[in-house]
Amino acid sequence: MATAGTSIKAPMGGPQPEGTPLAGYAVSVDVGGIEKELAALWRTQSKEKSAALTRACAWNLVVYCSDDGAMTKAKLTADALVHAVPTRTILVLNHPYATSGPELEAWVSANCHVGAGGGKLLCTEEIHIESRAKGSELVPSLLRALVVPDVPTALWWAGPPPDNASAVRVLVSGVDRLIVDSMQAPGGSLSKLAHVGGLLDGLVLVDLNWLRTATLRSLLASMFDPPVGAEALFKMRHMRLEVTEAGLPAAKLMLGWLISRLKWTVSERLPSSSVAGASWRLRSRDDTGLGIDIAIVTGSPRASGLHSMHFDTDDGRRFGFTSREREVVDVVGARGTRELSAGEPPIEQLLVAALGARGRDRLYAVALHRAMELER
Amino acid sequence: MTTAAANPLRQGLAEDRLPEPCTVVIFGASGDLTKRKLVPALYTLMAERLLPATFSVVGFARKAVTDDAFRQEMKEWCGKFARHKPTDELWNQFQKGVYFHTGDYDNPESYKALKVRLDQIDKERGIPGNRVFYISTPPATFPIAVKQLDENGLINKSTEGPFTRVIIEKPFGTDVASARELNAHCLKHLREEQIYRIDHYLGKETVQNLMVFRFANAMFEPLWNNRFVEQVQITGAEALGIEGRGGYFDHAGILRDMVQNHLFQVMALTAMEPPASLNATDLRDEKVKVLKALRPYPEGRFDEFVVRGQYRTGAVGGRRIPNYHEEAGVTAGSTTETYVALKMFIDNWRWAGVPFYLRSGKAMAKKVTEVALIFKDAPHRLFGEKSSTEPNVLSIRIQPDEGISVRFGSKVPGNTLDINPVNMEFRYGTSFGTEPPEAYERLQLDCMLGDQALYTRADEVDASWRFISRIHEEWARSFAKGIPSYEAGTWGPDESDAMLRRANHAWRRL
Ligand SMILES: NC(=O)c1ccc[n+]([C@@H]2O[C@H](COP(=O)([O-])OP(=O)(O)OC[C@H]3O[C@@H](n4cnc5c(N)ncnc54)[C@H](OP(=O)(O)O)[C@@H]3O)[C@@H](O)[C@H]2O)c1
Repeated sequence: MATAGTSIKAPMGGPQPEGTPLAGYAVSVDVGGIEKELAALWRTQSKEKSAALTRACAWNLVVYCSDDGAMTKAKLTADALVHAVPTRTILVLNHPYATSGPELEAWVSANCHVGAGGGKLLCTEEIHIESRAKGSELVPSLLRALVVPDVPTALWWAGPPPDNASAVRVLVSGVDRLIVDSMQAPGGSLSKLAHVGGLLDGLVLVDLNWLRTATLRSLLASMFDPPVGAEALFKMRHMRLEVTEAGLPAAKLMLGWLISRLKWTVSERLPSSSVAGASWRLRSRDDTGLGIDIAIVTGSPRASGLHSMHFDTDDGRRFGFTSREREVVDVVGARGTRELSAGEPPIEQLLVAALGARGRDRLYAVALHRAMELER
Repeated sequence: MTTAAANPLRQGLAEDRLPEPCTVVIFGASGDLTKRKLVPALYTLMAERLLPATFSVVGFARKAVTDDAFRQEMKEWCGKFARHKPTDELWNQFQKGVYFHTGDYDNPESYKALKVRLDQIDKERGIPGNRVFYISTPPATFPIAVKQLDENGLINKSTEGPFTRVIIEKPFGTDVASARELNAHCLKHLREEQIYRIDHYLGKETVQNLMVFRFANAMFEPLWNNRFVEQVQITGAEALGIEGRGGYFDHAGILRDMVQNHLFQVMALTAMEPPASLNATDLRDEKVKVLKALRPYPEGRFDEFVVRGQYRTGAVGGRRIPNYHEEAGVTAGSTTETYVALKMFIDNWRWAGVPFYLRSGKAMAKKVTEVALIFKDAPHRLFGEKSSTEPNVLSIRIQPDEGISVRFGSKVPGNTLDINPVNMEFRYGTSFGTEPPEAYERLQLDCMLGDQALYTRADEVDASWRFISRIHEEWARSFAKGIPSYEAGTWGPDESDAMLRRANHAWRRL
């Protein structure tokens, strides 16, 4: 709902839609006055609502946006996040080639929604920072001043993951988690991301693409729970994955995970066959050979682009899944073919997971590291 | 037992606490609890991928119902009560493992037929014989079902091979003698590690958070003792009257229905020493120590420590409530208490001299369950007359509006030194917008995983009944005195306020 402030700017993303009176307006302020304006917003919100308003903050979420489009999307996602994680969100957009306009501009707003079940008001604070030309050099100092003390900070790199560590380093001083989406990695390559991650000491690298495919990992794992047992995994001789172009990083992460869990070694990359894709020869832990093919398909209902995955064992059994609809897969396993639900959460839920305990998934670092072996 | 150890792909996954494939057999499956809580909770667990793919639920009751009719009925109830609403595709997956078996609770033939059915389901679905029997019938049927299960070969008492676990609903006995009898009966047919006595309060997120609050934060525990705490108040108030449950309630009363189990568990978690670990043995050892340390009431001074009441006509939240005696199922002249307030002392090093006040009632002003620690005054009144006379309070609200609030004195802005009490509130709902899981989800999952930490142990039940039964005995002796009444929609009889006033205390206004 409308907030206090010296001047009220039009809400980002168009006029305030009717029936959502609690979403925040953006208020333009000078940089030094941001905290003061935020305090005023809270006072106004408390006065306007009869319900008691509680301010809570579990995370500082700095969102680095590569362009206006990324900013608009990121803002919508950050707004939706309020239902699950109380954050102070700081959206940062740089215009390196701008020739006019102020070097640095900022707006504040409080985003309030009525929580599930009604009655309770959930609010987060949002600060927008836009820098032009050399103004970007001032942004890190502004971020340091604006983060809520004693609360961890996550930097969400909205857009393609950073490809050089020094660009990130200035922004991440004091950052606890760097959130990226390897699905947007140029050329589907994970090596650069792994390299950047390796250079950013003491910081947890969280990949939304890894979280996106968590259900598929758990689905695969569940196929080998008792009474089937894990023995079939060790009899695997050939595996084939079908992915869209965008699904290559997810496929490689999935393979990196399997390589690490099943203690395989990558022997060689095979020359490309007539099908678009890639093939490798691996050795299993008992030193038997194992072939893996990735085939590129044109479309898939799955957001991650990981369309199907099947493997055959040396005693003629077949396990795996094929995506049927967005949330449904056909599973082939010890108990024949079944249809199971295996949805991929929307981006705001992935972010919630990224800020939660699952963001610190130790398996990811290992899987990323092993996936790189496939790119050599 | 989880399956993580056996399956290398399970290791490190979020769902590595996955139970082994098993069947949950619900006795009394035509009842209310099954529809509202048990099956919706199981469905939600499946939707959250916390159940193995080869899982099944078998409803057992006398009512003749087909598998399909039971599935259809459960789909409707899941639609109403499950946290995850059934989608066609997910429900199809779930319902394939849902069955109904008609039988008599005391007829061995019914159990023999059930065994054949369960073996067949195991075979079809690849379940290695693991079973949870959830006895959700009225209490008279608990011992019958346990005996028949054992005598008809449905219980594997060995620690080897497939597991058999039995969940027993409340109430576990109605006094110390019947609880002991039921316990001895259960232990004839099962090992203690197979008995899961449910108290659904322990499955509530906020009750578990009491432990997190106390033991994950270093700053509160040093204050949590008789040096700083003046008194502790635990309230379990319900706004509703007995709402058609007169037949049951008039026999039970609020002391049995709420205090012996739920509020005593909350008190034990509030007062216990930090356990060495959160495993079932360590946690329950600490809780039982509290219950055993409750000071028995001194002879002849009972009325200084216990107040009971019965509601009369009034209104709660704008809705008229009839006199308790006019409720259906209540016997004429009944002296069953709908309100009780207790003053208790825990005779141990930490709590010596600190009164624990506990109150619970039906038709109260509002629904609220909370624990409040009321602190002693600062040792020196630096600000003289202008200091706040209100003590510091730390309150943990369990329901509704779960949260924690701290009351302290603060300077009123201005050029004079006026001090006013202010409340600093933390509410889960406004901080974490996500819905907490239902108590029955967590508890059923824990049972499938073999974790008894959130279930009550025989000695806890015994210790709490020992204390409560003495109150019932005293009430029986002083039957002629009658029972004070209170207007529905208020906070209980005047005698309750007077009990606290004698110690210069007062109930919190909630
Ligand atoms: N409902 C709740 O919110 C709640 C809360 C906490 C605890 N509990 C406890 O959970 C258990 C189940 O609750 P509920 O509300 O589902 O109970 P309910 O509806 O009264 O009974 C459940 C089923 O038990 C069967 N039953 C077996 N022996 C019976 C007997 N002697 N008299 C009547 N019915 C008998 C009946 O099915 P058939 O006749 O078809 O066999 C009945 O449908 C009870 O012990 C209750 O105290 C309930």
